[in-house]
Amino acid sequence: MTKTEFLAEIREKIQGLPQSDIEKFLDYYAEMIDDYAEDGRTQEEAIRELGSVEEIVEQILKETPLPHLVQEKVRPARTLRAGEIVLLILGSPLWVPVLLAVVLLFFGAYVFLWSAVVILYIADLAAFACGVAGVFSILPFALSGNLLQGVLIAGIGLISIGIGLLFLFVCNKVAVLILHGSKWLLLRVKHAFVGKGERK
Amino acid sequence: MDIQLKRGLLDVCVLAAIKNEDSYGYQIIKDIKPYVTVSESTLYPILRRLETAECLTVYSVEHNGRLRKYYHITEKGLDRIEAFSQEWKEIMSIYKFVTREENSHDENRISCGNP
Repeated sequence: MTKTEFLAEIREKIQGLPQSDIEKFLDYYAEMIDDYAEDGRTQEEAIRELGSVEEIVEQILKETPLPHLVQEKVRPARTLRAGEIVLLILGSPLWVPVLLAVVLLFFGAYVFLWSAVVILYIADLAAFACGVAGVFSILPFALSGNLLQGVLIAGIGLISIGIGLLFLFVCNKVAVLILHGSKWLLLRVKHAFVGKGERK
Repeated sequence: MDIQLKRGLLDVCVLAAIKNEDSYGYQIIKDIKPYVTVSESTLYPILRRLETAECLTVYSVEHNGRLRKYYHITEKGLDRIEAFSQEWKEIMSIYKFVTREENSHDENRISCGNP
């Protein structure tokens, strides 16, 4: 891949960023490649050194806040005409709810994911609580002369604590997974905003 | 290393690399390399962040028929390095406390001024 191809490929993937950001970003990489070349490496080697286009784009997207991307996407390329503004206002009963629905959908997805985590931990806590209660209930049973029943309940209590402990690991794993998942989701949304697609 | 910690360290490393004389991207990476590895794609957001925070300024210089961006540290950037070294003095004393030998325990108590 030559320098020009490399830069063109990056440009294509970050189209949705503000124009000045794109230029600064590409200048930076062009300069890097030239400096590598000056240090006695070929363009090809320099580009290999810089890493894949995907990695580079990923990095820049991670650092760019989502609202910044959305703002850039929805800003019209020219000032709106009076007629268009009237249309926007007249059409607002239609597009405002649609926009709201999309935003709420994403918000809902987040709430759903995290409430799943909360529920898992609560279930785990319940298992612990049952277990502890079971173990201690040996006392009243023993006092009323039903020692065997008491031992049985206490045994079940211990099992419950054990399950709770094991389940805690599952909860942690799921929480980490969901955390990664939501990060990934955010990155995909950002990709959708800056990637190819119709620009207004 | 903890990500947040590394992020903070890298900011200061970049500032330190331009502390004595203005430098450019490729040179900064080369200067930092012996201490901490930083890739080109990591350096870029750091430079932008420091620029936004007014810790450095950017200017272009013509070099071999092309433009090269040089970074110059500002007063704020120098303050940032100073704050970093102050903070780490504290952290180092905590480190000494944490890793101290058991037998120097009494000594520490006396030097801390406890009755």
